[in-house]
Amino acid sequence: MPLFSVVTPVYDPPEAVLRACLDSVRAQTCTDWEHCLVDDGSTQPYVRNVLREYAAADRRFRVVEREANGGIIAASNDALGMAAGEFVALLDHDDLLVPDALALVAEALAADPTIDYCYSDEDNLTAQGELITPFYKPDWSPERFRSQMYTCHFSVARRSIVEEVGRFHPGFEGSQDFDLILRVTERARRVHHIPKILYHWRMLPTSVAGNAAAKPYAYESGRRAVQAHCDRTGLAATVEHGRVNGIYRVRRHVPDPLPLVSVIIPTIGTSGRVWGVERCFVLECVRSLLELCTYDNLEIVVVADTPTPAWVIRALERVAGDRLKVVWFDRPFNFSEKMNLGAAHATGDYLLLLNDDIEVVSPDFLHTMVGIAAGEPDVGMVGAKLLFADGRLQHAGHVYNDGNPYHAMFRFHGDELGPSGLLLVQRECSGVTAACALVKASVFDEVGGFTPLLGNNFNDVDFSLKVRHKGHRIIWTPHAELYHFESMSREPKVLVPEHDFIKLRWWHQLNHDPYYNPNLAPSRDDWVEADLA
Amino acid sequence: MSTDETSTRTTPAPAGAPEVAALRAEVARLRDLVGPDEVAYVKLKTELWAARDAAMGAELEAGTLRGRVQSLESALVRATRQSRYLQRLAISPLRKGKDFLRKL
Repeated sequence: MPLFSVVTPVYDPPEAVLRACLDSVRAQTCTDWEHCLVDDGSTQPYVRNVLREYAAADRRFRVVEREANGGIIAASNDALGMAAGEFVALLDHDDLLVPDALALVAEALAADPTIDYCYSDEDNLTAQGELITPFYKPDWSPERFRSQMYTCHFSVARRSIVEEVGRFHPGFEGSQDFDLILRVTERARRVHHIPKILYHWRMLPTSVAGNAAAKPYAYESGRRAVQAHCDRTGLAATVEHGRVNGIYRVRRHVPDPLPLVSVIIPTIGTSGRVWGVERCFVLECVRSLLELCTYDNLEIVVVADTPTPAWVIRALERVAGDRLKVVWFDRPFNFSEKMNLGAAHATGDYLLLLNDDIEVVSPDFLHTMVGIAAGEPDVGMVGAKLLFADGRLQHAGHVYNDGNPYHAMFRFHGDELGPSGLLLVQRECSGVTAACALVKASVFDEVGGFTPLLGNNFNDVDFSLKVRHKGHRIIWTPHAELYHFESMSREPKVLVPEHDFIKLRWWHQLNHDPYYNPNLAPSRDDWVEADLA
Repeated sequence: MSTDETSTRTTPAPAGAPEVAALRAEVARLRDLVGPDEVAYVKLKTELWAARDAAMGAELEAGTLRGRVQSLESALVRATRQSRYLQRLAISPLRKGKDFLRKL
């Protein structure tokens, strides 16, 4: 069993809070630990006394007293300097560990010796002693981590890597742990998530858990930490503050010149009423692409069923001119075959799979999506935020739960933040809808396109899982917004053989979504916790 | 209108001056609506957009409410689960006590 060095800088915590923290470490069922405590010149005399008392009672508590307050980074680095363990566990002076926290980490490390960094779920502890707002986290999601420091406190890193990356760097006060973990995960062979609440984050008025405005400087430090990470890893991007504190937007730079994007739109030329006005869906879709979208290197491949009215095609030609390619499809309806046919006629480096009942909302949606896809070689597919005509969420990434695919936070309002900021962050997910998805043409070919065996339903689920199976990441972004006028009054018709097919082919993946969490309720898409035991 | 139609059907009148004047007025009204006067066309388009915006606004308002209902539904499920858990926590020692007393 490895030795864990729990690292805690201490500065003027309330006495009871400090004792509770130290007691929670002492109560660990795993006994191979040392607690490296640095008193950063606390002004309250009891701090020194309490630390000395614990050190006298148990030699695993190792205490260094700084003469003067040097700030959290200096104190944390001093604590790291004392550490002798193979792994260091970062813990705040007001956090509480659950008794088997280190034992569970040790178990995970024993099962996989390549783990270099490990984190767990968390909840908050109120002043009244209640445990509230559990945060059930996804498995390692580097894209989400760039948008949000979601691993938080109590995380365990291999000490050799922490030393290799130069411990905590000055200049990131308030987000020093975010900066350190970004640097550690850049080098980590494997990052592991333990889907259990292993610590309680105390909500003090002076902590960010209790008061988001407690450390305003922390958010700017966080933004700079992510920017520095992008610069180190060669990700051409500008990091901006998000809609709420602590959420960042990594705005990728798009390649120059813009690569050609082939937009593949299957249609039969139907019309319907949206916002009280009759419209031909495909026509308005193409019009919005050309008039609203600021990305101009487009090729539009319309795959039209033969009954598509001639006037629709004529109108499309008027709107799109030379950019339009019409491909006729004369077999019985099969979405997958239509998309594959469109892809075969496409010449772009990127394919934008688009339903005809879509309308652009964010003019820069394609810049955002192409930027993400082009920014990293292992990103295979990018999904968008789709809204119903009434502004509710139609798509925010897939969730595979209890053997079935769902749309995350389906029918919540489009402005919702989502649980723990889920709907504000760019993140990895197991799949995205083909109603609007950007996929690299090379990846489309690599996975052999859509399976014609799923002509109506679940073809995008199957496609997404094939893309991930080949080792590519799928990213969902809230910064590419479009309307999707999918019928809300009609429940989608699911064909039983197709449902059986997808379950048979992807049974394991549909029951183990790494970007959901086993503590969440089955058969739901809204991050509600499962029944408590 | 229906009275006029009935009278037209029953006693067809020769195309007199008042009827011509009425037809001309109708033509003028239609021209005012759809052209060929471009101003009238723009006016009609503007009215259409305004109607569309109003419909869109109303639908978005409804969507806000529907979304709120969805959030509340989710919160209710969460609260119900927690309440069931707390009930079990409270009942468990009572049951144990009852079993203990029964054994005595």
